[in-house]
Amino acid sequence: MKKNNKTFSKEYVDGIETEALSRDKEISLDSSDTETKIFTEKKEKNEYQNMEIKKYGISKPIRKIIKGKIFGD
Amino acid sequence: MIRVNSNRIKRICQGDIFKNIEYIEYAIERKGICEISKILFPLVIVLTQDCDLDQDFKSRKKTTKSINQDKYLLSVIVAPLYNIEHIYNGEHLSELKLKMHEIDKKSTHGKLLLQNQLPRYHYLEFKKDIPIVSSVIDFKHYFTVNLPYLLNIKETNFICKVSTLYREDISHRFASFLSRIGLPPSF
Repeated sequence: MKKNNKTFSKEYVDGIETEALSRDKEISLDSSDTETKIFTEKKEKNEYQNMEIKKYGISKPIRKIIKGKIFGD
Repeated sequence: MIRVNSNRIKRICQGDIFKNIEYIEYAIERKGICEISKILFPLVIVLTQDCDLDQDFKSRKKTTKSINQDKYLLSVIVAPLYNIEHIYNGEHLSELKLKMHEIDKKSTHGKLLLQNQLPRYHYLEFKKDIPIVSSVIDFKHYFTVNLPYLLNIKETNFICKVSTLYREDISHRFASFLSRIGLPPSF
């Protein structure tokens, strides 16, 4: 279980990687395991971060350059 | 963890957090062709003094004509919020082709960042019901936004307002960082 947790933490560092969520499915959850609670909390937070990125689109500042003809005086 | 208020009021307040705010880098005109470069920031926080914003709003709202526009503001100071995970990697401005200093989250430097002990940065952690990831303000990065523009988009772009005590903390640390004195290196 500890090993799995480490794997997840690595994905959590990336934060926005949606891939991390699909990999989580490989890890079996055991409610009696004390580490499970920590894992679940991290998973929820990760899902939440991904949700936020999806909701708000961009997550980093981006540059846009607009060019156009000027009409009139 | 900071406290925020999601209720939207009409005027712009200190501590308001907006999404998708544009910063105009330059606007030039050559031979009838206009070129505008702008940076779109995902999240910004308003840093202008709240009393100034309040006076501006009241002054503009007055139905009877005021003698002057003495309380009008020309612009509002805002600072971007960066995802803390991007800050750790030094990648928060990668889309602008800028590489920033990396911060190891396990190092002393990383821990001091979370405790708001580094003068340059301010760490913000939001409650779960607020759709913002843990973020950092870099006090070296700030710009101004036109106030009527901000008012016009408040309906759609406002996310939440940092509560009084926490916004005072941000404001105080920002002012302190700006007012630091650079001394020459010792011989």
